[in-house]
Amino acid sequence: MIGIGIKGKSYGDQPVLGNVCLEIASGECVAVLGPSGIGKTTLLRIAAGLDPEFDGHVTRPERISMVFQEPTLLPWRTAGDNIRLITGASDASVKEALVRVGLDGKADRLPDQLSLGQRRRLSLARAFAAKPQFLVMDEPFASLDKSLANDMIALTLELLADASIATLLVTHSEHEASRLASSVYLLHGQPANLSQTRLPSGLS
Amino acid sequence: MSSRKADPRVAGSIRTRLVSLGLLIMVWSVFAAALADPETLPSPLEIGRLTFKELFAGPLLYHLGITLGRVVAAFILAMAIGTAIGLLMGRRKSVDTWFDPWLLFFLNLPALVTIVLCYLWIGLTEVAAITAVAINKIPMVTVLIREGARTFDPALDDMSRIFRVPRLTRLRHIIVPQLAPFFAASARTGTALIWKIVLVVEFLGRSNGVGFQIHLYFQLFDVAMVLTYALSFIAVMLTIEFAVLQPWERRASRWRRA
Repeated sequence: MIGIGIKGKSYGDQPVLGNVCLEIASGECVAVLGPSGIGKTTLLRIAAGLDPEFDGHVTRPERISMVFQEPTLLPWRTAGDNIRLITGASDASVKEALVRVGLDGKADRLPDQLSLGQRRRLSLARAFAAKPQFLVMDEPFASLDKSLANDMIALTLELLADASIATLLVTHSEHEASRLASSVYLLHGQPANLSQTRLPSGLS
Repeated sequence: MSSRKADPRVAGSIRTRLVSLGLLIMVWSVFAAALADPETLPSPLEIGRLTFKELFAGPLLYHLGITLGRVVAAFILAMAIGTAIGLLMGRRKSVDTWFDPWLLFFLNLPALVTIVLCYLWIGLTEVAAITAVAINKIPMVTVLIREGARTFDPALDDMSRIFRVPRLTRLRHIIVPQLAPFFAASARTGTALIWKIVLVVEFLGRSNGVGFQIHLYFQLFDVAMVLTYALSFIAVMLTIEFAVLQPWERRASRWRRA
């Protein structure tokens, strides 16, 4: 169980987050929606342990993975090495991870030799190869065209179905949130607070 | 797939460089002939003959080896210390604020002063010579590596923290590749600077090496021998530049051309 209990977070004199409490169970995917600049990334960085400067507490497990807005790969290492070096996975696990995201036979390619869609898949493969207990996704399908974003959502759903991972998805897309998450929260106000929301039924 | 076929642009560039070098030797020959005074400006042919003689029948190889050894020792010391300090200063703002005035002080400290002080404080020893050279080079390495550390991609930092990448893997596969162009730049400017300072160090306080030989022939007003030793060492350093440093730099940045 992931427990996020933020009482407040400020940048200097500027309060960004107010009272933000959230619990995510294993196997559950929770989405946080909100407009740009509301504090979604701040919430996500606190949840992932990248920002310890806040008032409150977060309970998180040992093994965490993250899918970033950009693929965030090592451009000087091959696709296979990007998984092996970062997650410590064995050669067999790396091969399996690449096969699962449709990158079979691309282990020796450098990231710049892959298309954007393939780089996103590689980033996803890396996140799951780490066998996380907690997966954090920061607008993982931003800047993708609709069809590619749909493919990536389907692939993510497939990977999540096979693992019992607590997932926190931060996005501004209601479509992504409705497809992937079982609970959707809205971040709003100044400083931002969290409230559960129901998406229009047509979106799910 | 990499091709072993020579790139015509590279071949053209090498040709131009060789022609340019040939032109320099020609200008030198013309001046030497016009001056007609081998004691003031010997011809390139005469220097070639002397180099050949010193190489096979004289002590040229011994002195080149001694100087090269000092260059290598000072280079390793300066690169190691400069990289460590540069990384710290580039990564930690407080360290940078504290040590920036020190860095400025050492950057502006004349090489001659460092050499003289090292000889006075440590004595006319090998340790003093290498320390003096390293002290002159460390600030320059530090500045370049600090710039490199400042350009690190923060997203890769976050990624390595999230995935708990082991420290050594992080250093080898995330930090060093980002630092490689800056490391290469400081290595190249480093060798160029270090060997010149090594000659001054040898000139002032050693009993062997190219700098010592130059000192010896300076006292004898032997321009030809001064040029023989100086040009021989330039040839050694150019060989290192083209045979070691440039191929290494190309290898380190191969991924950029993928």
